[in-house]
Amino acid sequence: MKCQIVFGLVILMTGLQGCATVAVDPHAGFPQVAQLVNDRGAPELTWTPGVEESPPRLDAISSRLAEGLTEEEAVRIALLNNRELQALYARLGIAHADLVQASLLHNPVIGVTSGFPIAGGIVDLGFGLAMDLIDFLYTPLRKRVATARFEEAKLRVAADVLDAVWRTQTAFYTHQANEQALEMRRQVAAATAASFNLAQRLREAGNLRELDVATEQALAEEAKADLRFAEIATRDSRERLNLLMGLSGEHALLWTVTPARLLDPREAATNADLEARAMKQSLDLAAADQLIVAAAENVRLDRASALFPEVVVGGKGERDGREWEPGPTFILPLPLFDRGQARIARAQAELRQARELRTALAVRIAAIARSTRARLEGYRERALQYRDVVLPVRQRVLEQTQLQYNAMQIGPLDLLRAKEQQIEAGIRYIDALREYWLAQADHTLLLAGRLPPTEAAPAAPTLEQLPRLPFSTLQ
Amino acid sequence: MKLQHKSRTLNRRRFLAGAAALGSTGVLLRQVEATEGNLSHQHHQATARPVLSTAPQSLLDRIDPKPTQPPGEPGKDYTPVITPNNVSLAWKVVNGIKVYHLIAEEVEHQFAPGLHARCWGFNGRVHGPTIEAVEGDRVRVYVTNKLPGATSVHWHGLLLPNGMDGVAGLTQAVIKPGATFRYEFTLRQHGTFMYHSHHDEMTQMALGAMGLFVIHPRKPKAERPDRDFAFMLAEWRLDVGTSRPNPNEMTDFNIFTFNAKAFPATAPMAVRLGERVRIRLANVAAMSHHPIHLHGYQFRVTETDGGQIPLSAQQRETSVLVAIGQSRTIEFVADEPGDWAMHCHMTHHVMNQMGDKFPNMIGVKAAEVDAQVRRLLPDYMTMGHDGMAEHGIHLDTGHMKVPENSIPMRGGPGPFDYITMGGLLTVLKVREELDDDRAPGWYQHPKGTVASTATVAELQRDGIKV
Repeated sequence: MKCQIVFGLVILMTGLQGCATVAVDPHAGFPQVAQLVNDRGAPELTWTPGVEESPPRLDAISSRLAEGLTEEEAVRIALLNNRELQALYARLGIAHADLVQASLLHNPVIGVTSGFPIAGGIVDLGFGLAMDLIDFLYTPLRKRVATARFEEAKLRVAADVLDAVWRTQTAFYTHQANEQALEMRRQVAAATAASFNLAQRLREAGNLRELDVATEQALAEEAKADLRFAEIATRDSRERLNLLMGLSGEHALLWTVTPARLLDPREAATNADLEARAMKQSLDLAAADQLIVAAAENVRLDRASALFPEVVVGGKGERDGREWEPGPTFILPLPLFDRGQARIARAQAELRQARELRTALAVRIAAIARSTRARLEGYRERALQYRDVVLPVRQRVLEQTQLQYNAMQIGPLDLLRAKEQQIEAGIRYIDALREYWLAQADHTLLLAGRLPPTEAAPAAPTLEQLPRLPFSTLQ
Repeated sequence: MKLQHKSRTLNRRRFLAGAAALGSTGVLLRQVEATEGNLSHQHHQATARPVLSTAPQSLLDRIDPKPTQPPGEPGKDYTPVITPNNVSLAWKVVNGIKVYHLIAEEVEHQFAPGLHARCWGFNGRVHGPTIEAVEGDRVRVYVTNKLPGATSVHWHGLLLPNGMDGVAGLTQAVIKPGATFRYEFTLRQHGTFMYHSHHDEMTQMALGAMGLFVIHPRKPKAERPDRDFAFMLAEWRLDVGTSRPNPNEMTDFNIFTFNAKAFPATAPMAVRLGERVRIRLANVAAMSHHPIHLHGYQFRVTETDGGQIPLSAQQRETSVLVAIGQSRTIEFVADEPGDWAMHCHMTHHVMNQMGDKFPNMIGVKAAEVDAQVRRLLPDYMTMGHDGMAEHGIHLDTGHMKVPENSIPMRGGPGPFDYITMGGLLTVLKVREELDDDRAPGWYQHPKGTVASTATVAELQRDGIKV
């Protein structure tokens, strides 16, 4: 009779469990992530879990690769084709599985005992069914923790996608600048080679000292060494971009970059309320908020389960001799020593930590927003100074040097030196332009709600630094 | 001639000073010569000086400012001087005194077509107009300063009272901007002299503040010239592409001028065949003596700024060195028709704006380098590998651009070819017929009198193998 009650209880709990259970879904969270990043200016995300071969869309892209790679195109390809990014989406599945796990009741335990009397006779049999009753009460709490973790995971994946976009952009700008600088280094090498050549001719004619020829040669050879360096840098940055776009084989050789976009002063309008916008949009802050929720729920869970982390109810039947003796069982830990105070204290400390980290993060975001805006404006002014003032002046210097040469007031070596200085100014302009676009990428990322993971600014506190929160004290 | 001149001066001085007690003319003359022979000797100088020098004259200027002789008249008393590319300063007679007015001011001056500069001159001219007068004239020169800085005018080589010498600070106060000074003295000599700023000379002379002062003899002993030309020699630093002479230059000058004009802007001297020609040359360059060479003639050097040279001492020359601060006068009879060059014989003084920073490119074989450089600089070509002669032609034909306001290495077109000289070059044009209103064109040489390519027949005849 009591046995029936126990079974009835088990069936009831299974039914309740069925209502509370979260179904397993391999795509869980991805649409929200796609929406999150799309709202923040990143292109549409695609994810084809389980498909190993290259996405068919890459074929369409490859025809466009030859036309000159733009920054937007590079980002699209990276999002489509970077397998590390695709692997990142699997983290959603992991977090979701944790959520499913948290929603499941611990299975009831069934035990069978038997005894064989040495004197012979009927075998003694014992049968017991036990179930953690309080687990039923704790499950919703556990689920709330796991839900917060799952939300956090989605935010973190979205943040990682934005990082990938940023990495691709910065790699693109760096490579673009490297290619242009390389071309200019070639010109410097050509100019110094011409100077050296001319110096040799002057020497052959008996008109120049060996010292002057050697000086010209030194300049020419150093320019060649600089050219080698520029070649290495360009090859490196190209491979970094290939890596980010997930390109290999023929695809990796197919593309060339478009020249750097000229700076448009209008587009440089920095966001006046960048600080507020960056805070409002911040995925890191949202994730930190979710972590606080999870920590708070953990405190509640630990408080609730402090005295009685488990309450086991069940029934048993024993056959002693020929008689069955059914009866209920009840196991309750006696909170004599461990009354859960340590677990509660730990959970509370973790909550405090989460809150402090959130505040620290907000301070960091504000500071980085201000410095990013300052850098963007500064680099913009610098790039414009080069474009609108320095380069035209260098051009004028060259033109006037040519006229002075035409007037036979200065020599051809002086003229070539002016050309070389003009190219060097061009290289500095390319450098200034690259810095501007890198700052622009940081600015965009901040507006999208993510701290730029630059070396200069230490990375935002990763939430994974926090210890994994216990889902159940039973496990 | 020299002796006569001196004794005359002395006679006049003695008379003017009323210094009869000083003794006879002969005694005075001996004293003068003793003094001149011991100029470095302070004692002699000190004792001799009052006898013949400024004291009596100064006394005259204070006591009796009236001229002792009537003002000399052009045409009657002298053949007016021709200052090519310039004019003589206008004057008027007030109570028997010749009155002139010099206005020192900034002047936009053209050295040659394509090269102008802001200079300092007088009366809208660089250099100032020639002051022309006659020995014995009393002259009164007003100097108005319209320059941005103070100035003064020194009468270079003139014998005059010390207070009229125009050395700012030493013999007078500066003429401040806007002020007008009066200089007045009686001319006691004849010859070719100058006037120039004697305040901040480095600046003011480098910018051109000077002019000629020609004094004709009252009763010339020598034959009067038919043509009397006067030139002032100067040098300037005007960097290619700039438009104001640089007064800070101490050594490297790049524009050399006759009357502030560089060839091809120098006006030629036009002369009728058989005329007696006088050429006065005065040099106030900063650093350069100029050996002026006249082609086609031997001339006699007849005057220095110290006066006439005795006929017996007049050497025949083809070049005359005019050192800084000196004047030399040469004379000859123009008996050989043609276009005769007269130029400074320092070779870079017949170059316009030559750059000494240009490397020696002679003999450089650079054809292949040219292609290499043109990939970077499309307008490049190697120059100077066969000299500088072609450069002016490149510029004049306009296919090579140079900085604005510059005439580097530029000469001018001649009747046979491009003339590859600039700077201190001018032409003496001697013709049988001359239209005085117009400078004659190029000389038409009689047939067979111009050097030209030797014919094969000529080479064969004379056994010349080429």
